[in-house]
This record gives sequence, structure tokens and C-alpha cells, in this order.
Amino acid sequence: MGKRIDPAGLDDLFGHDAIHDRIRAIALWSGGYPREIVRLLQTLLELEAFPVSAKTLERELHRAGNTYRGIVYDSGAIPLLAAVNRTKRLIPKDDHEREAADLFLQNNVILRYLNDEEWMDVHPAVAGMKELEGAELDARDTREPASRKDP
Amino acid sequence: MSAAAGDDRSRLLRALALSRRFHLFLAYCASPRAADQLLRALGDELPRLRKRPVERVCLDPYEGRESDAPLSDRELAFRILIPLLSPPEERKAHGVVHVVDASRATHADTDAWGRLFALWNEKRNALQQLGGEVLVVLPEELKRLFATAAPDVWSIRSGEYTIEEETSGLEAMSAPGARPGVGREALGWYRALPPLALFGGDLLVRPWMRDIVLEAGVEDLSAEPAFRGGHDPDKQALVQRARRSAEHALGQRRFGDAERLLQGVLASTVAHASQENQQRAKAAFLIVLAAEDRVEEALALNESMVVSIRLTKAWRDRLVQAEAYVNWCAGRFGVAESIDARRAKTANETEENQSRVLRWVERGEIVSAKKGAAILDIEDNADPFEALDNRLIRADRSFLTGGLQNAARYIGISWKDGVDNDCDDDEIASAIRTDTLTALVELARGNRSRAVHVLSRKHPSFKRTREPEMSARVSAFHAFASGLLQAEGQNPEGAVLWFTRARAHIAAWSRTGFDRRSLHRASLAVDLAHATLDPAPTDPVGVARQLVERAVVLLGATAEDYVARVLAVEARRELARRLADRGSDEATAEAHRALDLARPLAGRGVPAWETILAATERDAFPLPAR
Repeated sequence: MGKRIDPAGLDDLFGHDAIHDRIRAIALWSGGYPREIVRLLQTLLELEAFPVSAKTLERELHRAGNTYRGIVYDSGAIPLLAAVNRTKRLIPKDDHEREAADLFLQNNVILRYLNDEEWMDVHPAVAGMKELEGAELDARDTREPASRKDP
Repeated sequence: MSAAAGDDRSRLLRALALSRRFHLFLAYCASPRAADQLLRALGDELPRLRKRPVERVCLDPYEGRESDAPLSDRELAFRILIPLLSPPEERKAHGVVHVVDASRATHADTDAWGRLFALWNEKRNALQQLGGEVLVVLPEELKRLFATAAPDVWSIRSGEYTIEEETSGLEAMSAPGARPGVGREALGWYRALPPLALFGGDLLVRPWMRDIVLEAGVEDLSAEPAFRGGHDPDKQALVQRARRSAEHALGQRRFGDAERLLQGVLASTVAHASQENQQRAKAAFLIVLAAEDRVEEALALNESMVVSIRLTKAWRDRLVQAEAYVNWCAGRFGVAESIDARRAKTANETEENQSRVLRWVERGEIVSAKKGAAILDIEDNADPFEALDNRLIRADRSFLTGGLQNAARYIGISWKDGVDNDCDDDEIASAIRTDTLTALVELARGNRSRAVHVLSRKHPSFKRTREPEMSARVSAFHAFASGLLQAEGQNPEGAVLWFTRARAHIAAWSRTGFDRRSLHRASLAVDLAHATLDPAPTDPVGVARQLVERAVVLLGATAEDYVARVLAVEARRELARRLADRGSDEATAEAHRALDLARPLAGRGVPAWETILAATERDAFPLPAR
């Protein structure tokens, strides 16, 4: 952020005392993708009033996240995302999920990370979606009947 | 327009003003009108915000296009991709904004746009040579397609904005200080009327009329020897034949002949005509009276009818159909429904469902209509002709509830010139009606050029439709829509000409049409539109008073007809405006009468009705002048 906006500009944008908190919130929301950070900064510069308050930032993050949530709703593959959210691994089960996985990766709904080994996670804008929790429960429900029938 | 949507427009303008190099912006526009308003704002405000000239290069594949056929890949490549990715040197500099305008994309063009986006994705690196911004204007239908077909281009977007309409004809009606009687907003009320409630009554009455229409196809019984005096059959057989001959005449819409024959049957003594025959003759007589707009007589006859005998199921159903039909013509929708519930449904379930949805819409039961419409199959796998009517009915409901994109999607499958050469006359008529509704949807969306294209389509002429008035009904609809198009284009003289033509077609339709209530609504709508734009009315207040009187009669005592209610509100508003122009004290009282009529329009799930109510409230309680 410092490369794009000088310290005085950041002061004006976030307010001197809040810089750390705001930058942290943006960095967490970005999932570590610099392009997201730059895009968010640009979005914030379109606002009319500065410094950007915590509430305003939250609203802007929510607005930016709508794009990703829209893709999730349209995909019809919420259980796949729920599994990635939980396991941090991407293992499509069928053609539909493979197609959805491709879409999610291309549109940064699923983000790819590399430490010692590669792992996956969902975009932070998507991670908190209630539907993912429901889908996890559903997924568990679909696995459990066999064990219930055969104790 | 919501505050948030207006905020998005301002933000996009600020983002463009702040930009100093290449950026990609995505604007999701609610309609072509919203896109036009955005681009106008861009042209007006961006140079001022930047304090330097801005060259806007608009890449719109629909602009100046003569054909209404779906876009080809070649067209899109030549009109979008090549100018965007291989621009002349002078257009590579900052200060040039390239606008890719897909706002007029139709459903039929979706695949072509998808292929264009994919090709753009492959050539994305060429974008880097641009020093200025690229604004991609997308309708809702292409929003997701752009992200999936061009993910790499999408990922470098600098911002996304949702752009709604600033004002539409309808919203302008309730704007402070609006004078809706003039200009393009004058007929904004057409968006509050489901078009099929005016020009689709045949689909509504079809289940009640199926048997009657079938009678038209049987051989004329009056040509039989018994009628020519060839021998002397018994009197009862003669009465029965007279009844059948009357039904045949009714099926052929020879209402006068039918009435004469039926009166003979009904005058016969019980010795000569069985009670069953008399009851069936009464059923036919009810229909004749209602079809001749003698609804009060029909209701009185119905009241006097005592069915003390056990009729066979088929004959009893005929009576029930006739009773339901008469009550529908009288605007007694609730009674018609309860009577109709006693009837065994016809074998054609689709027709029954279509009729039911249309009846829910006209009664203002929009939630029920939505549920009913959802089960109308719009796929062609069963019967393409039925599917077309189903799409039409779903589009009609979406039009009323403001879901214009959905409406466009349902009927966006274009009937290209010449394709319907192999269709029968009924299919051609249905295609013209679909085209006309498509044009109205496009007009309401602000896509005037497409509306013009669709209304100008050439269809083969047709003569022998199942219903003789189909041609007149469809022509009246076409003329009405053409008039609205002219009004929208600020050509009131042209509009009045079209409305005059519509009147002539309605007169022809009136001679044989069973769909009386729809016909009268259509007639009132056309006359109201005509009166509103008539440049030189001889008696402006008198004409408006007549329209109000007709509207009140049409609405009837039960006031269950929400389409007639909208027309009555608008007729009263027109009268109030004319009285105000004359300086009459009566104007305020008339505005309050309009408001009383409009109040039940609230909370029905129709935004256009809410807008009319708001406008009517403003008329009745104008803000004090500053």
C-alpha cells in the first residue's frame, strides 16, 4: 500500500490512528492477493468523505464481496466450497464439481497458496457465508445414514 | 432509482475522473435506458470533472444495425474486438475512453457474446497498449458470463458498478413538478398494464369457449333435408336441430342468427323441446348476450334460470362455462371463479393453466399468478406453439411486475423474417403477438431501436385463423404498440395516427370476439392514449369525461378488475388535468376521486401500480408552491 499511496495520503485516507487497523482489515479481506488490495484502495478513493471509518470500510468490503458471493450462488456447487473451507483441499467429486472448481479458481473464489506444500482456501468474502456451514451439515447428513442404519 | 444505485453512478464517474492510465471498469446496467443515461452523464460530466476533453469511443454492435437476426461472431469481432484491441495510434492515449456497450444484448445473442469474451480473454495482453480506460456496459444476463468466459480480463477490473435507471416514463409520473400529460411520459401508464389483459383475452376465455368454437367446424345443420322441408320430422327433433344450428352459428360468431334460433328453441313448449335442450339453449343464449355486450340481460337470464333437472355432465359443464363466462364479462371475477370451480376441466391442461394465470393477473393476485406462471412449460419439447403462448404469458406477468429482463428473456427467441413461412395462420398470428409484446418490453427497457426492428418485422399474411377476429386483435395490438413507440419518440402526431388505426382494428375485432372484457380494456386504453396526445381536441373536458364514464362502467360495481382500475385512475387523472387547465374548481375533487380509486393498487407486488398511486397522491395533495 505504501508503494501506491504515500504516508501522508494514507493518513488522509484512513486517519493517522486507524491506519494499522484499516490496513489489517483490508489485508485479511484480500486473502493475500495484492490485486485485491489495489482494487480495494481504488474503490475507497472513489468515496466522498475521508478518513474512511471502520463502518464505511466494512460496508465497502461487503460490497466488494458481493461479486464473489454472486458467483458462489450461481455455481450450484456450495458443498464443494464448504469442503474446501473445512479441509483446505480441493477434491472435486464429479464433472460438475470439476467445472465449478475451474470457475472458482479462475474467479478467485478459491485461492491457491504455497508454503511447503500447496493448499487451498476460499476467498475471505465467501468464508463467512452461512450457506457453507449449512452445506457442511448437509454433506455430513448424506454420509451418516449408512452408519445409522448399520450401527 | 435507489440511493445506492445513484451512488454507483457517481462513483464510476469519480473513478474515471481520477484515472490517469488504463483501467477496466464494469457497469452492470438494469436496462438499455440506464446505459444510455450513464453514457450521457459520461459525455456531459467527465470532461468537466477531468477539466480536459474526453474522447468517447462507443463500441456498440447494435448501433445502426438493420437486421434483427442474432449477432454473428464476425460482426462482434469487427465492431468490438478489432477496434478495441487494434486501435489507431491516436486512440491509444489517455483521454480516450473506450465503451463496450452490450446493454442491448438479447437472449439470442448470449452465445455470441460468450465467444467474444473468450476471444478477448485470449488477446487480453493487447489491452495493455491502451493508455485510457475501458468501460464495459453489461446487462444483468451477461454479468456472470463475462466473469466466466473472460476470467483474466475480469480479474484486472478496477471497479464494478450497478447502474439503474435515473428516470423512466413511469417514474417521471410521480416526480415532483411533473406534468405527465405532455412529452414522452404522457403514456407511461402502459407499463402498469399487462398487455395480454388487453390483447390476449382469447387465451383467457379459451377453456370456456372450446366447445363453442368446435361447433363452428361441424356441417351446417340448416342445410339438412329436415330444414329444407324434405320430410316431416317430429317437432322435438326440429327443436333439437334448431338448437344445434344456433350453436353452430354461435361458433361462427353469427350472433344475430344464433339469437334468433335460440329464441325459437326457448319459446318452444316443453312438449316440443326437452328440458335438457332448453337448458343447453339457455347456456348458448347466455354466451350470445354477453358476446353482444348485453351482460345485464345475460345476468338477469341467468338469475331466472332454474335447473331442476339432472343434466348429463357434458351438458352441465356447458352451462357452467357459460355462467362463468358471463360473470367474467360482467367483471364479477370472484363469482366467475367459484362457478368455474364446479366445472370439469378440459383435457388441455396447458390452456386451463394459461387462462388461470391471466385471470390471477387481472384480479391483482400477483403472487398466485407468479406461482401459476412458474409451472407453464416454456420448453419446446412438448408443443412449440403452446410453449410460445406459455412464454408470452410469463413475459406478460414479468412485464407487469417490472421484471423486464426476465420478460425479454422469455420472448427473446426471435422469429426471423421468413422463418414462419411454414407455420399455419394461427402460429403466424401468435408470432406477431409475441413480437409486439417483445417490442413493448424493449420499449419499456429503453431499447427503442430494437422495438422498431421487432415491430417492422415482415410476417406472411394470414387469413384463416381458428378465430375470425384474431387478425384484427393482433393488428390492434401492433398499432397500439406502434403508437406508444411514436409517443416515446416525441412524435405525437404519428402516435395519434397509429391509435386511430388501432381503433379501426378494435372495431373489427369487436364484431366477433368473445373476449369482451379484454376488448373493452384495449379500446379504453387506445382511446385514452389517443385523447391524451390528440393535438386539437374539440372538447377536451368532454372527451375526458366520456373516458371516465366508460372506465367506471368497465370497472363495474364489484371493482375486481385491476386492469380496469388502472385505466379508470388514469382516465380520472386526465380529466383532473384538463379541468385544472381550464381553471375549474372541480379539478381537485376529481384528483381525489382518482386517489380513492388508486388506493387498492398498493401492496400488490406491482411497482408500477405503486408509482401510479404515488403520482395520484401527488396530484391530490400537491406540494405548496415556493
